[in-house]
Amino acid sequence: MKFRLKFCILTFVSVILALAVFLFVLLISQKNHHKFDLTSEHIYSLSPQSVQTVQEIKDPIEALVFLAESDFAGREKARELLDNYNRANDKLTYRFVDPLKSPATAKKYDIRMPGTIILEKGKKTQRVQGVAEEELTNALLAMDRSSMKKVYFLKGHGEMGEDSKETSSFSQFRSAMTSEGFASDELSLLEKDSVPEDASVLVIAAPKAEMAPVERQRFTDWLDKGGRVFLMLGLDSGTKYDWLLEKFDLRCPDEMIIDVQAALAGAEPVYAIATAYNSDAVITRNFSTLTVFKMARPITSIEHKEGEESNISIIPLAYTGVAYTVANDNILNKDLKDVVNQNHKAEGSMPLAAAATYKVGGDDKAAKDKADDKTDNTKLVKGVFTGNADFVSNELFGAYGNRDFAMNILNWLTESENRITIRPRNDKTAPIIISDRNMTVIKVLLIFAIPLAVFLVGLSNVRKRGR
Amino acid sequence: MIAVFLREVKAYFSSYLAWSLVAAYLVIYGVITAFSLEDLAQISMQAMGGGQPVNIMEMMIPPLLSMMGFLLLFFLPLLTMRLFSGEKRSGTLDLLLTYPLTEAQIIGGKLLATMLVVVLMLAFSLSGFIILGKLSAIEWQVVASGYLGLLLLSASFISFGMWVSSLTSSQAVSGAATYGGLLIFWILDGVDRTGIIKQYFGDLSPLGHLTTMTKGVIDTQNLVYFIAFSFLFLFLTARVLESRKWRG
Repeated sequence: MKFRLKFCILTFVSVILALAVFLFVLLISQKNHHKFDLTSEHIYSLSPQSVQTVQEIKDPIEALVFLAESDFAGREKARELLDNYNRANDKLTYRFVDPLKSPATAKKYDIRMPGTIILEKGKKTQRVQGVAEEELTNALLAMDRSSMKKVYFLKGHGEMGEDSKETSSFSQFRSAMTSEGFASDELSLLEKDSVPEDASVLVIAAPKAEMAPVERQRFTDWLDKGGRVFLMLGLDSGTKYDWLLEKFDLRCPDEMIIDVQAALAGAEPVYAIATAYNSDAVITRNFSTLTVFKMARPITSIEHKEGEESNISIIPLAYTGVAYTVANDNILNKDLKDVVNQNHKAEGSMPLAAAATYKVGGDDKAAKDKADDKTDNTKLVKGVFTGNADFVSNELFGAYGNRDFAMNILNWLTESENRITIRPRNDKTAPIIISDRNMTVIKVLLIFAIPLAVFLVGLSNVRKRGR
Repeated sequence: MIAVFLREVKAYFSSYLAWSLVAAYLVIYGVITAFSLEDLAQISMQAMGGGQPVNIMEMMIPPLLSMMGFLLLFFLPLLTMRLFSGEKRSGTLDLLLTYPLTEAQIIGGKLLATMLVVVLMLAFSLSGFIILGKLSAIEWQVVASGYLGLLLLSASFISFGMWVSSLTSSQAVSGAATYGGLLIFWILDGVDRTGIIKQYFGDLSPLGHLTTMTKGVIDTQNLVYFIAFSFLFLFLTARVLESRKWRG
């Protein structure tokens, strides 16, 4: 009896110990493990640029990933990516936030799109649209900027106001800029000899009057040394800023977009809604929310004659659904509903915004190279153009994706020349073409022939052994 | 151990059980593979007209490998239920325990024999991947990683099934309990809502660890998990066998 009791106790203890060792081994391997990515393009590993960027992080950064609990696939993708970052530097941690279960947190960060990541480092935040390595790494780079980027709002030409809280002012836009690490100020090029050296972006918001020649010269001198401009035109801007658009091979016809698709959905004729985006553009990659413009003009590119070379790279950003344009003259002093009710031929989707770049400096050849290539001795001039400024006014800034669109524009304009480009590595696609006959052969082989052959071999084997 | 291994192999392959299970597994696998391939070919046709492009390495290989692992969850208990339960019922276990063999040798021999049946299943299933390889370029190292995962998963399932089988003399109870246990392991992930268990111990579900390997990523954490899981239940099985001696 004693013998049995002794063995019983020993067995019990050994089982408990075994379980403890099992859990301990799992605990150790969870903390110390190594991954071998056997895929040919290492798609489940961080790129060397990302690894280098994240290893340089010195202060703790927390990533808040706004994804619903029910979005298992999205969370799994985010977990895989962020675990890679955390493994490279454990100062970067993350947690998931379900916007439906934590509406206060979602509201605090003004989350409009699922998959938005907010990086927090102390009081500084950086927004990342979509769960993707390139966006996350560049956001980490942007967070690491020691100096604040400064955005100047041009004044003196009847631009939209900035200080008051009226619906047409930019106070919400400027608050959002501050929360993402931008400083802002006003600038008059009549009062200053030049655009300040600390200017990262110059915003020109729906000017009604044109620039004086001296202003234009000061502005152009700054722009052509690698300046970044965000020009938002209004109906009252007319053709006064065509000279600036032409520098980027763009034009903004003096017309207003009537968005037929939006009108069918019940919107007022004054609104044009961006429903389609250029997924190849950094500003609108992973962008899926509507952006609302009011009394918008189209932004189009200047067509060059055949054989004419241009060193300007134009990047369309956003389009309406089915829409047409009406000349500005036709809508002055008229009820828009009457204009809309006239028989118009729908022209298709209208471009609401575009970005463009060109290189300056270096030799002629470098300047003539595609403007999205970067060389050490050239500067990249960037511009973003919209035919409307109301989308960033207090009236519409909080609507749909307006905030994110505006902040993406600023981030793109102010980002470093050393922005990391990580080519998506899971783009090995190849068509699979199988004729019906071959498909039948495959089905017969996999479903019948091979299993039947195995069973018959087994049958004969069993019978042979049975004899 | 080799004697036990050969004895078990003979027992498996001289009965219809192993052959039927392999054939049934291949039928189900064949159905899933063939119809998935047909769907993928249709998507590919649509992609040529402007739809979503087809990437076989992302859209077919990992899900197929994961499905093969899931199928093993249903087939392996049928193999393991006879390992000790059958021997107890027929009275041959006591005879086996009188042989000059350690518990480890007995368990090792049975494990290897059952693994041989699994190897046969997986070997014939390679036919599907060979066909895929003829239709499109596939990364064989990813397939190899997936198969390694399937073998390790099988070892884990067999170890667990063997332990359950050692606890009872009823094959039906053994089979049912093994199914139940493996299903519980499968749903463990969903139970851990807060993620605390996963944060400290990683994924407790064997199928969760397989998923990573089906994508071509071999994480040492996965290897450690499968090996530790197998060893744990093989150890427990050895303790159960040992207890027969002092229980009388």
